[in-house]
Amino acid sequence: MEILKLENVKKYYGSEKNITKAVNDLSLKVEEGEFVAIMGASGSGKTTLLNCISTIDEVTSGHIYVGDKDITELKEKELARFRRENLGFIFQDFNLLNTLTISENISLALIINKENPNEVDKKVKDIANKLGISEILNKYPYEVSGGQKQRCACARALINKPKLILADEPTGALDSKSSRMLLETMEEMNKKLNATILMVTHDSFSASFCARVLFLKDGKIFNEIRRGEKSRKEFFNEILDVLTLLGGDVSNVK
Amino acid sequence: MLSKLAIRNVKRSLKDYIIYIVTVVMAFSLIFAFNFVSFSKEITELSATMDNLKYAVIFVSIIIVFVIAWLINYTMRFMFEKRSKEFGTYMILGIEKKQINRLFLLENLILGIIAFIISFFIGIIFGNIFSAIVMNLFEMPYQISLKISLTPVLLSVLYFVLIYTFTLFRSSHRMKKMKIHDLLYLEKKNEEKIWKKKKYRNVLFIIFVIMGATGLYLCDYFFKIMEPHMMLYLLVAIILLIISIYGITFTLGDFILVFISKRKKIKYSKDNLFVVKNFEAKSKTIGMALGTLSLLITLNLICMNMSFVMKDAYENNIEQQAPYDILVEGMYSEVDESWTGIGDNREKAWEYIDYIHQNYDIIDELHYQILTLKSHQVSKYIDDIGDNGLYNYDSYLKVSDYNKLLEMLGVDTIELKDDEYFVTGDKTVEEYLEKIEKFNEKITINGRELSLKGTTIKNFRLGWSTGNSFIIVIPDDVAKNMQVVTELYVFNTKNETTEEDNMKLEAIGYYEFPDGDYIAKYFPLTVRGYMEAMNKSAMTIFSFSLLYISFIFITVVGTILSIQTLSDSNKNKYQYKLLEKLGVEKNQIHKTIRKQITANFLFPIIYPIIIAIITAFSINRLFYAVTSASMNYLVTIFITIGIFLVIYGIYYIATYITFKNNIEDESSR
Repeated sequence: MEILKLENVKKYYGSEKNITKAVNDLSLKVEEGEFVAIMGASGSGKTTLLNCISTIDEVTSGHIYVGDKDITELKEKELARFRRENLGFIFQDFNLLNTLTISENISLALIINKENPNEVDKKVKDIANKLGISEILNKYPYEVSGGQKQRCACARALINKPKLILADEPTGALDSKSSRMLLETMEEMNKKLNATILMVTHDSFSASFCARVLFLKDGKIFNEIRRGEKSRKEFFNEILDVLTLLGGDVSNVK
Repeated sequence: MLSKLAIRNVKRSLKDYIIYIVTVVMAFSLIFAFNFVSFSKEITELSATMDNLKYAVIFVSIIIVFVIAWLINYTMRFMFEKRSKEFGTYMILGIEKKQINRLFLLENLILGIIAFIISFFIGIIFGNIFSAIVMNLFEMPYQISLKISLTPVLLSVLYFVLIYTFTLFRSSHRMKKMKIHDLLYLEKKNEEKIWKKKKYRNVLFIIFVIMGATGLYLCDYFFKIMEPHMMLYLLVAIILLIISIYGITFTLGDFILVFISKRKKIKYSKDNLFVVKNFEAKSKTIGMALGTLSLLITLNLICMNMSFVMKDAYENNIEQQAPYDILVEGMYSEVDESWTGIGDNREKAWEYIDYIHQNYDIIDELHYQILTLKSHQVSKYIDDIGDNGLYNYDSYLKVSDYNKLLEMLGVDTIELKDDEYFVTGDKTVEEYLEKIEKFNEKITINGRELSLKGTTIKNFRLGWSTGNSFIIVIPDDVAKNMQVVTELYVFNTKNETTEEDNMKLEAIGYYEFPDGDYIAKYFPLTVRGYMEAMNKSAMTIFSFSLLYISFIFITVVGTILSIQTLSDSNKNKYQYKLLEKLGVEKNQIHKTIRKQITANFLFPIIYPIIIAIITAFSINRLFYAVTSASMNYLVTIFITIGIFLVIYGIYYIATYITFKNNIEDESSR
């Protein structure tokens, strides 16, 4: 089943004289339970694309369907509800609330969704166990490491069982060990909990954990590769090959 | 859930909210204090006119409410920007904007109310201090009181409600306009330029300077001529000055920048580039706020200056009008009644004098006359024939009377030879007296030729001759066959006179009709105690209101500059870290920080100080006649600026310390 469908999405910035086509007539589909990475150089439009999908930004034209809803048609009030019920977010800089403890940060998503208060603690503990952060639940975000913060953000994104999890450079602010742990966590989230994840990254190592990688250049999809039955290492090399092409003169490839 | 989150947020982000709380507490403490004082029974009963203080304070409060509303709105915007990312996160999590808005407003309201309650108590302390000062002015004993009447509390609550209705409404509007994307990326956003074309800015700068100069000139011109139909001039002057204050704030940054970047030696020496660039960005983006600050500082300096000048004017007024404890004037006049307006009141006046002799311990007294020959030998030098025509004739005072009058004031007397005369007057005739001295003409009275001994403006009192601003002192034996201009009787009593004495004495002047009605017939008498009470209350009302305004303005300016500089510190943290990484020493960085803050604090005060000094000159012109001879407007304006700079300096130091900590202390956030 399709979870996400983009039809001819365009996002232009700037004035009439100086238009930046951040996303230029892009279409794509994501199936339920997929783990998709979007790659591209700086300025290729990957974050803008993610922002459009996550309703943080508005599209210039085109349609975005999540499930059967066209989110470009939703009003602001409906959008809040839509985000609450359908989307989970993971940011590069975590976006945790410093005034709340880790467990309160995770429970926030449930509280907002008006979950039964008796269930909240149990669910938080449950997800914290799965992501290996039950030790730090009573600490504040500034007291824990970056990797732990990001896993807290994952827990928050996951706890509502959203249709789609959107991650913007989740390993961007982490060291390599924490990155690896986080990516393995996300892989598990995808496989065991059947979460659909769309991740933006410029790091091929991160992308190699995914099942499918989309390459963006100048706001368009340049290439797409699938992992299939390949090992992670083989896939990683394949990604590197595409990136080499992407970095070179495209007309030579064609 | 929402209120719980709000309370938790308030508790945990109290550190961030310190600026906000300090702002509200300071503002409302002052509002409370001034209201308490103006409504306190002890103060309003000081004299009959003190009741007006209430209305003056209420009137001033209307202005204050506007300024404070702007200030709190500004502080709230600062908090909003600081927390924009948090709000963005809430929205991402699916909380509706309306709810987030309510959360923020609730937080601010909770803190506002807490701060309001704190300021109530600080207000009582301040109020007591202010009361003590006012009571001291009236030479009354003061006891600390915690009694508070209801009206000022209710008024303060009303101001609070008005201010918060406005600020919460503004904040809510701000939130409504925000998109989730804006909230998440607000920190990274570059501020927008207001003036895009650089070329015109320098031309504009010069135009604004010219406008300012024209405004100041018109202002001065108005004070020089001082006629009602000239009000338009003053209005135009004020508008020009306001435009020029804003305009200069907008363009000065660029003007300096262009000046410096053309001179490579300055540009690339030390840390100038860094400081200047930071500063340029500032004047471009927050020019409007800086302009308002400059305007407030200008008003503050002028208000404070006026308050000092007024104080001097009132004190001088008492000395001029009521030099002695009791003065019975206008008893009798032989000169045309149309000129002096007196006639013969001797019968009634002696009733006063008898009463005074019977009821008071008299230390000293003098009965004397002002005389004339209706000649113009001296008065011809005094061009400016006033509306009352008192300069029409030379009027004389016997030297023995003059010396007695001086003696009663406790100052040195003069000696006058038989062939000499002496001229004394007040400040307004100073230049004419100089002219008289220059021409050094001999005058002839009753056939005797007298030469000029000298002139002085020292120790002259308007009360001596019912408002005449100069008088000629002559030897006693020449004063023969003269007409009496006016006859006076002065007393110095053992005990200080009071308002009550004035009432008792005036009552003698009433005629009672058979049907019980009273009519005032004659009481040209001046009781010093009454004059003091009248002048002191007027002075207190004026000075108090003006000081109220200037205190509030200084608070506003200090707070806003601190907030701005500190919000810079959050944004500049990375820049300074970068400088450190590039190998700049810590000491050097502190020096750069100091320079940056100094630039921020110095910028909005330079132009206002210039305006204040120039207007001090004009204000001096306006009040020249009524201020004391020893009053020096330059000293006054520098004292004013000094006081301002001391308070301003406290803000500066506090800001520097916090700024430094902010930059160094990464882990605190």
